This record gives sequence, C-alpha cells and structure tokens, in this order.
Amino acid sequence: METDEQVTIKVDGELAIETVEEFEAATARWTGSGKQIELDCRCLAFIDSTGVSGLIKAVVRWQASGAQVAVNNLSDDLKEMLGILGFYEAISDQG
Amino acid sequence: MSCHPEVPYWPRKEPDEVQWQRELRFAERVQALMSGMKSVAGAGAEAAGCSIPHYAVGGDYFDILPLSDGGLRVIVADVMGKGFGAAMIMTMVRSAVRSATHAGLAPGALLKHTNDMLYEDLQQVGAFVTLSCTDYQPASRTVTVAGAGHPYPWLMRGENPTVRIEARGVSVGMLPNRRYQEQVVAVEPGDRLVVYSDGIVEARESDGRELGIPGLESLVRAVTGQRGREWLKAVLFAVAARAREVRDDVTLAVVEFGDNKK
Repeated sequence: METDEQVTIKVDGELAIETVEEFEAATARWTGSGKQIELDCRCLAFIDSTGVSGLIKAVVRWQASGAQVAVNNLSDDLKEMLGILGFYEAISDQG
Repeated sequence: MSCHPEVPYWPRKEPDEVQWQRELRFAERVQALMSGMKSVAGAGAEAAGCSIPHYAVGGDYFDILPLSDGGLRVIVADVMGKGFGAAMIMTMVRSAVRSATHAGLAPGALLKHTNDMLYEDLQQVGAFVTLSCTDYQPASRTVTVAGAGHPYPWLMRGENPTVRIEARGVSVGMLPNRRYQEQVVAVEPGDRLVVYSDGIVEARESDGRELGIPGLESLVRAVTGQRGREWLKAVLFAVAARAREVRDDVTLAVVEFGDNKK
C-alpha cells in the first residue's frame, strides 16, 4: 500500500535462504524513494538467519537513504528471536 | 574463473566430479574433527556436545575446553546460513575462540575479542554469528555465561522449572566495538546446563509446526537415566523421531554437575 509519504510492504510466509533474494529484489525499488517505509510482518511465519541478514540489509539501506523505517506486527516469538539476535540494536545503531 | 577482480583468470584444470567428491569427503572429516560428538570431564562437571551439519559441512560449532582452574568452557556458535561458506566462517570463529581461551579471556571478553577480530570480514560477506560462552568455575561452583545473539542456555534442576540464563548481547558481526555482559549463576550437584543452536528448535513436526523451545524441553525432560554422550544421543534421537524435517545445522551441548571430585 502506498501514499505520497509512506509505503507499507507486507512480508508474508517465510523469509529464509530460499526466499531472501526475492525479498531483496522486491524491496530494492523503495531505496531513495523519499517515503517512510513500513514492513508489515503480520503474516511472516518464519525467518532464518539468512532472512534476518536480508532484513537488516534492507532496513539499513533505506535508513542510509534517509527513510524512516518501521518493522511492525511481528509475532511475539519472532520479536523475541530478533531481540536476542541483536536485530533492534543493529538497525537503531545505523539509523 | 577468479573470484577476485584484480586476479586474472588462472589457467587450470577444472575439477571433475571425482575431485569434488574427494574434497567433500575431506571437508567432512575436518568438520567431524571440529564438531563431532565429544565429552570432556573437569573438576565436578562433565560436558558433552555434538554438531550435525545440515549438508556435508556447516556453520554450527561447539567446543569444550579445559580451563586452568580445573573448570570447563563450553562454546556453541551458529554462523548465518549453511554449507561451505558457513563452514569456512566457522573455522575463523573457532580460531578466534581458541586464541581467546589460550589468552585467558573471560566469557564476555572472549565475545568482544571474537567480534573485534571478525567484524570487518563478516561485514564484507554480509554474515553474522551467534555465540554462547559458558565457563564452569569449580572453586565457586558457579557458571559464568556470556552470549552474542545466541539462544539462552538452560539450567535444569530436577523437576524445578527450567531457568533460562538470559545472557544478552548483539550477534558477532552485526555491530563494531561491542562489550558483552556476563551472567553468573550458582550450580549444585545434579544440575544440568543445556546449550543448543536454533536449528534444533526450528525442526518441523509432522503437522508443519516448529518443535519450538517447549517441544525441545519436553523431549529433554523425557530422557531419564542417561548421562553425558548417552543423554545427548537419546535427546537427538528423540528429536529425529519427532521431526518431519530439520532445516538447519543442529548443535546440542550439555554440562552435568556433580561433586567437586574429578
């Protein structure tokens, strides 16, 4: 979903070694768009370490281009897993 | 083909299938040397561990290192991804961890040392590593735990609820110049410390759901009357029996505490 100021990207299914390239290709177009970016992870069922790396790269890339980025609606399990990994420090340190 | 832009194409014979298989078998032997099942006894504790790569080689690593005070150091690490690339990074981690242990660094300092040594390289390839370091100190009957993004170790005492030792820290390779805090926990004879990599809890059951932390805990608690390697094997067999699919490298390590007599 896209407005003049913001784009919401829904991340569905699994973000893993098999799908991360597809995720990177689909999200690269928003780099430098000048919009706020929201990743809606309501339907994200699973993320492995390669998926986490892809997610960090996308968020850091957007932040470096000046975008405000939010990663929302993660399940409690995924939120905890990303917290343990240091994901939130990694993206806030770059932003 | 050259993987480095400044190195010209090098005229060589491309390896055939026989050569690839020869290299693969040798890589498997090196992997087994580093992470095959082993156990080590210290003063008042015995540790055992095993890593099972998803492919022929993989990025999980565990180590059990004797310490100068008679204690034991247990390391479990998980490199992002699977296969040959992850395995190569794993050997870098192993070297950093062993050099830090040889230098007498405590768990938190070991994680800092590993991150300082590997951060630039990991950034170049876009990888990170989760790492857990646990020291057992027999004089104080305590364990000191430090973690870099790794699943929290469990302390299990009889029928008591499992205590998750929340050693928090950013994964190695994610951010530079990190410091890592330590958690110190007292242990008693009969206690068991369990450290694992996330591949084991991400195993899928027949209904497609992940085994999860509760599932692994129930399997662990169901294994009785076994110790050390036999306990490890019993748990791994139980996971294999319940899982329809394992999607990643798997590591399981255990420390069992007894009286302070070797």
